Formats: sequence, C-alpha cells, structure tokens
Amino acid sequence: MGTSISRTTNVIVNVFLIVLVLLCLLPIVLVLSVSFTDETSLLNQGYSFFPGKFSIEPYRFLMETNLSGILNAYKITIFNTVVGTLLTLLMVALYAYPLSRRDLKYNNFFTFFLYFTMLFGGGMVPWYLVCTQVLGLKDSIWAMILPSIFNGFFVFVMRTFYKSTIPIEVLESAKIDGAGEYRIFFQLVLPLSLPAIATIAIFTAVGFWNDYWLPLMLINDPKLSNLQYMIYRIMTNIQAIREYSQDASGIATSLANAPSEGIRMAMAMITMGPIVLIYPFLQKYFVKGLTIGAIKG
Amino acid sequence: MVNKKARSTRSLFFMLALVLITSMLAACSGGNDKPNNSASSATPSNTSGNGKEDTAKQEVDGIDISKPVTLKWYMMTFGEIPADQDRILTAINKYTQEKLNTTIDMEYIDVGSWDTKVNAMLTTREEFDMIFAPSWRWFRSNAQKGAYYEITPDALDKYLPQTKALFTDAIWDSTKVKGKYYAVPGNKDIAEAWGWVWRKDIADKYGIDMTKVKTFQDIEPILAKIKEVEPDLVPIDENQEPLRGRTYFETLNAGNWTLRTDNDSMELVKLYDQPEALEMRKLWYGFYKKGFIRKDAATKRDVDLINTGKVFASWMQLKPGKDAELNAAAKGNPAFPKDAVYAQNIVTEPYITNDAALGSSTAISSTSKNPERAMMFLELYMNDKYLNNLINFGEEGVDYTKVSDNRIEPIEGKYSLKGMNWAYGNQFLNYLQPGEADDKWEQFKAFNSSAIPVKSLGFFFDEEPVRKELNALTAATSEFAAMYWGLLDPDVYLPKLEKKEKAAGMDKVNEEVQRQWAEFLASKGQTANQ
Repeated sequence: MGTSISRTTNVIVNVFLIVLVLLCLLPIVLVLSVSFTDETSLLNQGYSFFPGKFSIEPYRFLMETNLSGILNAYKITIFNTVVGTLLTLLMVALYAYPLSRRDLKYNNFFTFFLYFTMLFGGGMVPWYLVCTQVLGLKDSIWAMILPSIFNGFFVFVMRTFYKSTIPIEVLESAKIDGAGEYRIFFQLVLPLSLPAIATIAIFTAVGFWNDYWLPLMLINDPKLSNLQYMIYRIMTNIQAIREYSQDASGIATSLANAPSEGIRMAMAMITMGPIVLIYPFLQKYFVKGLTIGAIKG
Repeated sequence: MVNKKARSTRSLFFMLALVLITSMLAACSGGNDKPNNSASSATPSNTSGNGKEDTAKQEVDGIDISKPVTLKWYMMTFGEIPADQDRILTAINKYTQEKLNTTIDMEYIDVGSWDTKVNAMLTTREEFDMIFAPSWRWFRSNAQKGAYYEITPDALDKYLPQTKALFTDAIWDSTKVKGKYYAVPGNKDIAEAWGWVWRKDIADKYGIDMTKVKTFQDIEPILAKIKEVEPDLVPIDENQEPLRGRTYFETLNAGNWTLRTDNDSMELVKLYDQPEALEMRKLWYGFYKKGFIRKDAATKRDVDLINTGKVFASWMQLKPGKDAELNAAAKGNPAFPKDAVYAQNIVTEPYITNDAALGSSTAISSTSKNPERAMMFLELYMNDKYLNNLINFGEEGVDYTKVSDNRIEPIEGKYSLKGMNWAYGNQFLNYLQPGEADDKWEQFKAFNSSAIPVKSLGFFFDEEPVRKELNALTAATSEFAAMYWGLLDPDVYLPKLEKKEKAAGMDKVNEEVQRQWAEFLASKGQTANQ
C-alpha cells in the first residue's frame, strides 16, 4: 500500500468529485421534479426540487396526444443509432487497420488524406450543396447517418490501438497458417480490438442519439424527425413565436397550441431514454480502451 | 515471400477501396431514396396527373396550361402539423388539378427551424416554387438579394387580376422593394390598433368597468384591487414593450429616433428625451415594486400567461374579434380555467404601417421553373372560397359540419389549422367559427378601411451601412431590456444605458437614420418642419 495517496488529497479529490457529480445530476433531478409538478403550482411557485403538488398530468397528456409521434421518433432514433454506430465502426475499423500496417504502400498518403479532413472542412454551404444536390439526402433517413459515419479522430485512435496492442507476430503466425487478410481482420484483429471498438461505439452511439443538427439541416418531414429534433422543434418553436410576436400579429395565438412547461420537461425525460443505460454496459471496455491506447501508444 | 507480400499489400489496398466504395454506394442509395420518398408522399399528385391528362383543361382565361406542373411550396408551421394533412393535400391536389392542371407539393418548416433551413435553401439556390415570405422573416433583404421572382405590373394584371383588386394601391406600394413587387400580400387585419384585453369573468365578479380604461395610469388602481382580491392572478402582463401601439410615438426601428403622433411634424425626436417615455418606465418600475407583474418577466420563456388564463389584463395589438380568437385558442389548454372569458376594448385608432400587408405574404422563388403557374395558383389561393376553407378547415362532413351558409362547427380531433388561419392567404374567405360574430369580416373590412397611414409610411431604414454598430448595440444593451418590463429603476439605469449606447456607436447610427430620413423626405418633397 505504499502507493496510496495521503488523507488530505483523498478528501479533496472526493469532495471535488462529489461536487462534479452533483453539478451533473442535479439539473436532471430538477427536470424530473418539474415534469411531475402540477402546472398551477409550477406557475405560482416556479421550479423546485420537490414538487409542490404532485401530478402525472404531463406524462398522461403526452401518452394520450402524442404517443404515436414519440414512438415514431424513438424508432427513427434507434435505427439511426444502431445503423449509424455499426456503419461508423465498420468504416473506422476498415480504414484504420491498413494504416496500422507498416507494409502498406502509400501509407503516408492515406494518413495525410485523412489528417487533412480533420484540419480543413468545406464549410456549411458546400456541405449542404453536396448533401442535398449531389447526394440527394434531403428528407431521407440516411441524411441523419451518412454525413457522420466517418471520423478522422476515431481512425487515429483505432490505428494507434492496432499498432500498440496487436503484436505483428500474431498476424504473421496467422498468415503462416494460411489465413487471408480478411480472415485475419475479421477473426483476429476485430475480436482483439474490442476495447477500442467499445470506446468508439459509446462516443458514436451517444453522438447519433443526441444529434439534432443533421435533421435540422436536412429533414422537413415530421415523420422522419428523431427524438432530439422533436424536442428541439418544440422548444425553438415556442421561443421563436415569443420572439416574433413583436412583429407578427396573430402569431401569438399559435402559442395556445404549444405544450406547457411540465409537458416539455416530461418530453426531455422521455427522450433521455435508454442511452443512459449504454454507459454502465460498456463502461468496463471504456476504461480499458482509453488506458491501453494511452500507456503503450 | 515477395509474392506473398505483394498480395497482402493488394489486399490492404482492397480494404481501403472497400471503405470508399461502401461510402459511395451508401451515398447513392441515399440519393435513390429521395425520389422514391417524394413520389410516395405525392402519389396522388402523380397518379392523378397522369390519369387525367387527356381530360385536363388546356387553357384558363387564354393562358395555356396544357403542361401538368407540380409546385413545391414551403410553408411555416407554428407547432405540430395537424393530423390527416396528407388527406387534405390529396383533396387540394384533386381540386387544383381540375382547375389549373397543377398539383401542390407542400412542405412545412417549423418556425423555430425556419431561419436555418430557409437560409441554407436560399443560399444554395435550391429549386422550389413558392414560399411563405412575411416581412418579419427577412422578406426585404431576401428580395434585395434576388431570392424572389419579380411580379411585374403586367404579370399582376394578367395572372393576378382578382388579387390585385383585393388591395388598395397604397397597400401594394407598401410592399414594394426598391420599386418592385415581390410578394402577394396576405389579406387579414392589415390595419393595426392597440387596446386592452382582460378577464371578463373576473371584472364582472368585482364590478370593474374596463371599458373606461385607456392608459396604463388608468389601470393602476384596478391592478391594485386585483392583486388584493385575486392573489393567484398576475394583474398585468405584457408580451411587447408597453410603449408600442402608437399612443405617443411611432416605431421606426431606427436608432433612438421616433416620431411623435400628437402633431403633424415630420421631425425625428429622441425617444429618451420625451417625458412620456420616462414616465412609462417609471410607472412600470412602480408596477414591479407593487407586485403587479411577474417577477421573472425579463427571463420568462414559458407559454404565454394569457393562454393559461393566469393574467388579468394585457395591452396588446387588437383587431375586431381578437377576444373570441383568444378564447377559442385558450380553450384547448388544459390549464385554462373552464369559466374564464376574455373581452377586449380597442383604444387607439387603427393605422397602417409599412409591414401591414406583409404579415403573411407569399413569394415566388426566383429558382422556380413555373412562375406563371405559381402566380395562377396564388390567384386561386387568394380568391377561391372552397380552396381556402379546404386548406384551413378540411373537408365538409369529415372535419367540420356546416351550421349555416358561412358558419361551421369543427369536429373535435379532426383536421383544422386552428390558430394559424391568419397565415394562409385571404382570411376573409374563412368560414365563421363558433363564437365569432356574424359580421366578423365586415368588421375587418371596416377596420382596415378606417385606418390612417402612419407618418413614416414608405420609409425603411436600410441597416446595411451601420450593420457593425447595430450588432455592437444589440450586444451591449441586451441586459437593459428588463427595463421595458419595469424590472430596473429608470433613474439609475437609463443614464447607464445611454452611456453604453454611446460607446457602442449609437451616434453613428443616429446620423445614418437622419441622413436616410432627409433623403426620404426629399423624395416626397417635404421638410422636417412641415
């Protein structure tokens, strides 16, 4: 136990971490509490960690009026997350593996080709042009997947992982046993790199789950709206109506159809959904993936 | 060994190629997806288009319409799109197909996402035909940038004769951008007037006569009483700056300048130098101190109090029948008390501003392949009672029942653009809703025609020369917005605000306004002291 830290440091670190955890958790608790607060007491007393008058009205209202919309948005989000994460992993793993091999000709070129995209982007307008007029992604479910299935940073993480943890001897012995490149990649390299894959999977899955920007740019059809965009629309619509009502008479009447505070908070709780469960499941890989890459890199 | 190495390198290459090819294939499949999607959503249009081609009309008023056309129309939505929208679109297309050999591909964009999406579309010159283009969403700047198709006076006569007759020349003139027409105005409450809205049930309960109340000074004792007897209500709540409504000043949206409305002078005066402005600030600070307004008025972001029935009175922009509209809209809100009723009293005289007719206008895109057909559709949209009510309230017998010739009873839970009717073309064609007066549209017409033009009609402050200063001003003064709502003591914060404004370049903005104003007066052959 010679490496144990001193008592004071221990206390400081713990206090710091407790404060950090509270800063992250309390807003969620507040939203949860507001979503269960009666609308009238909410208007009179404002937000509170303890509901003044308990009510499940917002959830009941959402279930009655908007169940199909929420379920549909869930479907879209889950599809995007699953398909998007799988495609991202495939792309990243496939691009990273050759780069990790020293015997790849033009290795430098392909690395630079990748690195370049991390430094320079075309900008919003060309990006939009390519997405809508070249790829025809507007109002397509792929609009929320394809633009983000490749990520230069993840490729470098993956490449470093392959390089540092998969001994070249393993690959050579497989080759001697007669395995082809595909067999080596899918049956040896991929299973061995599970920690790195899990790490990247967490990042991308959370990214796909929380994405509202791609639908904001490319999706008009409400049937293709994912969860985050659905809640984004509700929030920004109310904000915009309030803001524009200065100039547009009549627009304020549209506020009557807008959901109340409690309903919006209930929406936020519902959209959080299963993504919070992903961390505990993948956590063990997460830590391992980060440290292994770091120590030996 | 060499051989083997070469083969493995080739394999590695192949893997990279696989990545690239997969991405391209995926992209292509995405591309193919698109026509499929739009085809399925617009199936009725396509099938009926093909099936009816032989029987379709070839000509309308001497204009050739033999070519079937689909018009893409972007419309703003202010919340969820009503259920059954597809069914209504099918019915619309059936009708427009018969009339104009034209179908509509309607796409809704949320008001909150509007700027992001529409800017991207306009910047990349995306092809579409019609778009909702109100003055409060960059109509003038987009028109100047060439985003919209110019409707020439000849085209107006040829394609839009009935629509032209809907508005007076003065109103058509007010829609001009650099001397040209770019939009078909919306026909609704074009005039603007302000007054009080209040909870009639509460006023009756305590014998309060709100019809006598004209000013904020008049209402003060009433607010004190409400505060005492109905502690759960917010006595007064404002969505807009209390000085709005042309009671003392005309809003120019140009620097600190304003025009007094109690004289004929065309001389610009500084808002803060006017005693009424300071008085209003002080009055509202008093309201705040006495607890007449909500404490979080500066940061409130939630749904309007008026829709939940939590406010007693509000000073707002009114039109005939606004109270009935508010009541009908609030009824759907679960928090609105069952016995609550709003009443209204218009206090100011109606007036016509520059943006009057552009509150719900529609423009044709300059990327449109069929601007003529779009104009013909707009002519139908603005003047056809059947089409108008189909878009607004759906189909008879399915979405509503007809009570009399011009009055309907909506069926609960069916299609209706409740609360959004003002945004759709010619509101005067709408059927009457329950609770609306029989002569609602006659009142509207009288209201519009009684309106006087504002003194600054035709003047738009071109912000381009002082854009930098204006941005700095917005950033520097946002914290003072709370003063509008009475949260800050004007004696302390008004001097601070003026100091900050000066530092951010207000003087330059003021000079520019004066220069443009002088130009405007000269063009009308007037002087400031006239």
